[in-house]
Amino acid sequence: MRRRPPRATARIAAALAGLTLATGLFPAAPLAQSTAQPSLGTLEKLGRALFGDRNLSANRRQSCVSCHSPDLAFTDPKELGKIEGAVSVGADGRSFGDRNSPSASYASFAPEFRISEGGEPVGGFFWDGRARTLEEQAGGPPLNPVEMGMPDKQSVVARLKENPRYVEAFPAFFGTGVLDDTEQAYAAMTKAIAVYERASDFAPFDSKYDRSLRGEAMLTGAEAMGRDLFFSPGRGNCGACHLSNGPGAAEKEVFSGFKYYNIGTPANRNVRALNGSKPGFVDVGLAANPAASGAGHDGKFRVPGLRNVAITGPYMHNGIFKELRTVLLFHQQGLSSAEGAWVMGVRLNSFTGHLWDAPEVHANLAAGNLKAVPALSESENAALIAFLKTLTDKRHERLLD
Amino acid sequence: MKHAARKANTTTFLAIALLGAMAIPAAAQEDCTGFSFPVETEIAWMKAADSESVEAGAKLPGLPAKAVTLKLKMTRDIALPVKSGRKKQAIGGGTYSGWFEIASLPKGGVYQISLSHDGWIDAAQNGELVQSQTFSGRPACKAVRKSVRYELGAGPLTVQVAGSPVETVKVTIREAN
Repeated sequence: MRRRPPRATARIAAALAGLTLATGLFPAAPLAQSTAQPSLGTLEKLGRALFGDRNLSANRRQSCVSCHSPDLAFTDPKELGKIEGAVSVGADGRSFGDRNSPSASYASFAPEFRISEGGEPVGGFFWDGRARTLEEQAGGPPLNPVEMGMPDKQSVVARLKENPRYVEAFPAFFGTGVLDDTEQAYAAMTKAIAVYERASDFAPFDSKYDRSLRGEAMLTGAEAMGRDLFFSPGRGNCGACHLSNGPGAAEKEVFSGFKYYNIGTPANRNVRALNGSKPGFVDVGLAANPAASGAGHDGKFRVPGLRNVAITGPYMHNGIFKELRTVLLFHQQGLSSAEGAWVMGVRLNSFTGHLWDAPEVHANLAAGNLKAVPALSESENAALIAFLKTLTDKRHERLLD
Repeated sequence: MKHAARKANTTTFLAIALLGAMAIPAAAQEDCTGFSFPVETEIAWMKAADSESVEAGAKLPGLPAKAVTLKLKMTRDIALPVKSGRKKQAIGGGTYSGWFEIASLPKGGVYQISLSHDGWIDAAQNGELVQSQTFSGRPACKAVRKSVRYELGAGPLTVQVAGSPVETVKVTIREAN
């Protein structure tokens, strides 16, 4: 006699079997296999392959990942001896830049470079905003002599053509013949990289701070105190420059208003001594950006986002400060009033006991902004650091002390 | 009546099993596709039960044809034979680090060293770090988190792991295809 299987049992069993196959939860389930030729079936996957491709550098030894490692919030994990991680080394193993490699995580949230209605430069990429868009930024390092060092776009496209997967993928995404036109091919490459940089890998928004906003975690007393100081206009006042969504806490905040200021950062003489800078060289920042032409931009650099800030030092555009605490003290103590004029070097760095070094560029100091930063107590600064640590993506929390 | 009860029990069991399975979303994310070079051998070795268990600082006589289960020490309590060359915050004080030595690689060539968990891999020969050739990693792959290729010479090799969130990791090393 044939017996019909119980219907409910069969449905559940089928569902369970499907789940088993889909998830590989049980030993009998086949493990998803790696492949020597991973699919580049989406633009994001193509971008990821390009982001990690060392063949796009002159000596095939450097990729975007080299200075923007996903294992350290897309910053450069290398210390580089006497450079002390302030700047990165080029593909040639000898060349050093003059500026710190910024984190590529959450970079896509920067708006395009523009001049605001008030005539103020906002947004853009690199410390001086010289790349208007993320795509333009992605096209910079391959051709930078002290980075990936390729001589021209044509040579980069020639490297793309060496890879059968790219030869297959580029026309599929960008049209037949795209690799036969250097400008189109290079633009397509930067487009794919930018698409990857906009993926959730770069912006998980899963830090303790994010989780606290969603009610999934509770900040400690010190962290909450630091948060309140950060957002308080009368106390830390960090939000004046480090918020993109207006005052107050908001989800998906990346903690930069993307404006440009000269806060009097001293030159990094250690780096200058090692990177072959010409004597007397001055990094004028935004003033060298043709799109920001006009007086009043000397020494200004874009306000960085603060996501993962606790694990992405050294800090400032030239990596001069190794510790987060130094950065806080610099904001609070670096400028001081003397007879009505805001000058540098009057007050002591309470961390080191020495005077702060003079700013590299004396013009355009953001005196008004920094005047509004009151000196905080030791416990308040500790709280602020505790809060800044909560901005660390979940996967990097193991790196926090 | 008896049959109905058994049917109900079976249904309940499967329902509980299904719910249990659904309650493990992390495991559901297993995805070992997308590495930029082959890691099938590494996945098989990592999942095999016959790995060689060693303490940090162990010396292996030759190239193991299976995974090495390496017990690490607190990073703050250990000095690696060769400085890792990474920033302090890239490793973190609350993590685990360690190393093992291979007395002699049989021949020079391109080797692939893979790690089961987050952390940094370094290969050192003659007291110096060897620059990696290429890297591939997949956070969603539970068996092989990352794999790094090095061009190594014949002779002694030190394999270092730094900044692991877990005390025990698996490491594989083999000549690249």
